[in-house]
Amino acid sequence: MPLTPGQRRLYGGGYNYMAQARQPDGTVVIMVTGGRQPIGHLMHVRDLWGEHEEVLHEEVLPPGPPPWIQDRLEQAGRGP
Amino acid sequence: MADFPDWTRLFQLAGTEITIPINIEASDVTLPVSIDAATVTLNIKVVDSSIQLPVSIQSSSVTMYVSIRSSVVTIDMNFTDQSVAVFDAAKWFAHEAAQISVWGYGNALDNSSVQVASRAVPANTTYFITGIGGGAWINTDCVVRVSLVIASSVVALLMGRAGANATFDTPMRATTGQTVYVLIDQLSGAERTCYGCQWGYDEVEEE
Repeated sequence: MPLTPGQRRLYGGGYNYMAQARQPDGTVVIMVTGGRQPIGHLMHVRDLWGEHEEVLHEEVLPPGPPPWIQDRLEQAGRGP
Repeated sequence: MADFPDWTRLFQLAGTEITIPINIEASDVTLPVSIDAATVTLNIKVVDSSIQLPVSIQSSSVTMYVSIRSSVVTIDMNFTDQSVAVFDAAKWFAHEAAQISVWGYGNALDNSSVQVASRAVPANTTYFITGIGGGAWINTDCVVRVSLVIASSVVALLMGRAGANATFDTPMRATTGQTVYVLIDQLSGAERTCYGCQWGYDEVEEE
């Protein structure tokens, strides 16, 4: 089965931070951020790191600060 | 080029102002310096009110290998500048945005364990773990064991009241494909949510 973009990031190493929430059914919700990709990946994974690893859900987290922080940065003349 | 098996030439220059420009233009330049002798003295002494020794290396891959074999070695590095920094490995890899932090949580039954904060070491990567921590979400004393597991082997084991943490003076090392996780055991008498974290840095091999 081809890897999802989030899995490619997990196994390719393009992240600095990973947070995990283990669910009662043994699945894990993962968020990876940092690294060269400005976006984050949020995944719900069954059998994480296991032989039958399966991504049940995946979504991309938008890059950059939230709009209200971005607005304040620009007002302060420190926008990226 | 001619070969000079016993070539000796003495350069002795004396003057108030000496300039020796060396300008080489070629598609390929090789300047090998090979000295094979019973004794070698390379004495480079530069004395001036203003000294500039620029070393500029631009390449996709740079390896500077310095090997010194001696009964007595003295390396005296004296940096005096406002813009000089010498990093240890952990700080350098953080500076290079290669720091890793993994945290997670899960529930563990009494006298049972849960894997939290796990990662498989990515491709072409050596992962150096510099610290771990963990505990149970409880406001009374209970025995908690925090283990670092690399490729199914416990490599560090901590125990504490409700939690424990450690920073390793020598990092733990894990290689590509190995699974690394923090294991939390708790003896609180009931099911608890347990939290754990591991951190360190990735050293990525150049392809």
